[in-house]
Amino acid sequence: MNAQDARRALLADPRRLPAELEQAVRDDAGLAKLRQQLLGLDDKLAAAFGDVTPLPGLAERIILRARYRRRSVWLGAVAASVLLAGALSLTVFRPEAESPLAVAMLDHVIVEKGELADNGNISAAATKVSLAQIGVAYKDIGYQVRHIGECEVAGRIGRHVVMNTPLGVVTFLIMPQVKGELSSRRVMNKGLFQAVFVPQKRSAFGVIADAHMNTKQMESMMGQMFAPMKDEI
Amino acid sequence: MIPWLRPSSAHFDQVVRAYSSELFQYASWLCRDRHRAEDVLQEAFARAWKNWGQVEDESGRRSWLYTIVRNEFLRDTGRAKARMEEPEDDEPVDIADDIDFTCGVEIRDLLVQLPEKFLEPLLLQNLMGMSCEEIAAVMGLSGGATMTRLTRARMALHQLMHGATEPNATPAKPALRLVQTGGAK
Repeated sequence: MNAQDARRALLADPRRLPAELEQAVRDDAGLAKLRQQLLGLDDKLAAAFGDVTPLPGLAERIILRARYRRRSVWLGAVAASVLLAGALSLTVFRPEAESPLAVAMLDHVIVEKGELADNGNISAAATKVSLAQIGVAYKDIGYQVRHIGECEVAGRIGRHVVMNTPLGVVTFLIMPQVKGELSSRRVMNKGLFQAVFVPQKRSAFGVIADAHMNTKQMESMMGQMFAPMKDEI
Repeated sequence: MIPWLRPSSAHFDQVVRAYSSELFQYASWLCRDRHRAEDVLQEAFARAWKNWGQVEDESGRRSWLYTIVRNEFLRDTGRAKARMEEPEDDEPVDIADDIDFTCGVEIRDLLVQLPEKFLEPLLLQNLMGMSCEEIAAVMGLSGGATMTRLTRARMALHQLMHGATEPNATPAKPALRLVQTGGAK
C-alpha cells in the first residue's frame, strides 16, 4: 500500500484499519498525524449529528400509527361499514362525531379518582419540567398544582395535572395523538363531569371539571397555561 | 399474511422503542426538517410492519430499517428513481500528503452546506457507527464506491473548512439550521 492509497483509506474510515493500513500508520508519522486529525474531526461530527433529539413520545406515536394501519388492513371492510352506519346515526342524532380518544380521556378522569387527591403544592418548576418532557410548555398563572403525574390512556402515556383554581378543582389531561384522532374541539358530559378537548398538532389537550362549570372559562384557562412547544428545525 | 404467522406486535414495539430515536436523527439530517422527519419515520415504520417477516436474521434488522427510512425519504421527495439512476463515483481521489484536517470552525455550519450525497455516509458512519459494508448496504452502493464517497465527503468537508468550493459537488441546499428543541426552555 503506497502513501496515497493509505491516505485515501484513512479518509474513508479512520477508525477501522485493516492490518496493512495499521502497519502503514505505525511506520509513517505523517499518516499517524492525519489519522489523529481525522479522529478528532469524527468526534466533532458525531457530536453535531447527535445534537438532534425527537420530541418525547415518538415511539408511542409510531406504534399508534402502525396499529391504525394494521387494523385498517384487517378490518377495512368491517370498519367502512361501521363508519358508514356510524356516520348516518351521528348525522341524525348528534351534531358532531365522538372521538374515542376524548371519550377515553374523560373516562380516565372519572375512573382514576385517586388522582384527584391533594398532594400539596407542586412547584411551577417541577410542573414545567414534567410537561416539557412531553413537548408542552407550561405558564404559571398562580394556581396551585395539587397533582401531576404520568397516566396511560388508550395505550399511550401522557400527563395528568390537577389544580385548585378559582372555578374549583380542575383536571388537565395532555395526551399524544395520531393526526385525526381528535380532529376538532369537543365538549362532552358524563355523570357529574364535563370536559372540553382541543386538538393540537401532535397531542390532545383536555380540561375536565365538575358539570356546573363554564366550559368557555375552562377552555380559556387551559389556553392560558398550556401550549405545544415550538419545535421547528 | 396468515394470522398465526403474523409477527409479534410486542417485538415490533420493542424494536420501535430501541431504534426510533437514532432513526429520527438520521431522518432529521436527511430531511433537514423535524416534522417531515417524523412523518417519514412513521410512514417507514408502517411499511416496515407490513414486511416485518422479511428479515430472517435479527442482526440485520437495524440496517433494514435504515434502508426503509432512506427509501421513504426518497419517495417523499419524489427522487427514488433519480437516485437509483445516479452513477457510482468510484474514481480515485488525489490527496496531498500535507493535507490538514484541523478544524477551527463550527462543524455544524459546515454540515448544513455539505451536499446530501456526502452528508449521508458520514452520518451513517459517525452517528450510527456503521462500517463501510453496512453503509454500502443501506445506500445501495458497492463497497468501493462507498469508500470513495466517504473519502470525497471528508475532502469536501476539508474544502469547506478552508473556504473553498468543492468543484464536483452539486450546489448545497439553502443553509437550513437544525434547532435543538424538546427540553425545558
